[in-house]
Amino acid sequence: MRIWRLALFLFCCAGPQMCEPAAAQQLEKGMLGQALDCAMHEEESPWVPAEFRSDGFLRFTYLYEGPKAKPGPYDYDDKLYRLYLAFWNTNRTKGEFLVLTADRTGARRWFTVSNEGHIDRSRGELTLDFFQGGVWTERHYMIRLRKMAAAEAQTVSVRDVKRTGVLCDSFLNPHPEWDTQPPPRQR
Amino acid sequence: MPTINGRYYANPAYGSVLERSRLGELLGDRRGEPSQPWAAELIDYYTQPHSVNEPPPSPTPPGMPPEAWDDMRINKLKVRDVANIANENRDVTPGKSSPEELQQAKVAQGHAIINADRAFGSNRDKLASTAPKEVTPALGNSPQYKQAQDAARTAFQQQLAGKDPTGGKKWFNNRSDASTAPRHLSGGDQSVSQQMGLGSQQKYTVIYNDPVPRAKQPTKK
Repeated sequence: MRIWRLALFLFCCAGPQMCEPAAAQQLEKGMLGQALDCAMHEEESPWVPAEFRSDGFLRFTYLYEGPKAKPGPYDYDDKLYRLYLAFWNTNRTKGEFLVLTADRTGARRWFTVSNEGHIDRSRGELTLDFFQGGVWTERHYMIRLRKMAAAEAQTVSVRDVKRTGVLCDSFLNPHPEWDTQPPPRQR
Repeated sequence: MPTINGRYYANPAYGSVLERSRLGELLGDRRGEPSQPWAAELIDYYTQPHSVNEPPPSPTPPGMPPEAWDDMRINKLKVRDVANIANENRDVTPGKSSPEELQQAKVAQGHAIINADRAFGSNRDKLASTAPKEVTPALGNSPQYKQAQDAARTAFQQQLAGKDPTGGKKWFNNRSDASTAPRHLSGGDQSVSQQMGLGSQQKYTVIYNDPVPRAKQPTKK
């Protein structure tokens, strides 16, 4: 079973467009593995609470969005690329919501954990209690979260989430200076 | 410069004679001499140089038109951009709160956006993101956007005067209950700084202190 899940994960990292029903835009190669690396190994991580990985596996869905030519009323109109991740418990009644912003510093990819939220649908209704933002942000997230909640979850062993060397920042301990002065190595 | 009978004179002696003559025409007899003792006292009083060391009050400058604030730059944002809180909390009405409390909450959010712009600059969209800075024409002409414009202008003017009721806070969200318990993040905790009522959707605007990363547990070697 575990071998099957690992194979599925590696397959998704190599060709994510094949198995991402909730993804709005294709991820670059290796990006998902790097994002999971940040979720688990960022300076202030793991961002996935222990209760959602107590059996040694991460169950997640995701959505990747880049700049849109014609943003809708609940779309950002900036040039940023965002990866929305939802990590679920085994029966998918609760979860952890992460928003990662993807950027580049020189040739290196740089992720920033931009927002975080607690997902709850144990009472039937899907709710999200998130860190930063108001009503517009809530509606923006809920549109994405409903898609992710309906998508089939991918499963990966926590042990298979490797350190990739990607730069990981977060709002919890931000490094805005990386914009102009990237660190030689984060870890 | 001294004033005599409400007029400025560089030469007080000349001014005193001139004003005495003017007042004499009003209060004196045909020759311009005061005919009554009270008139003489009055002329003496008004022809003395006054307020030699006290400058007259400066005229009040005309008020700045409110829209003039909108193009003023904070860091990467302009005051106009801060008004995007209208977009962030669109459709929110006072409900059980008073209109003043709703406006107070919007001003606090304006302060948080300004503080985040000062702290993060161009990285604010990554680290403390809010709704887009652009607003649709329909929203731009709405009463709620006008309220947000007022809130943004008020917050900016308060900051210029060194007043920030949030105390430099950068983070805010809405809670659907009245709880002021700290928010638990995966890697840290965040205590509540202020809570303000927002009504119609049973939301409370909450301003947070900076998150404090949880101390790492020592790893086994």
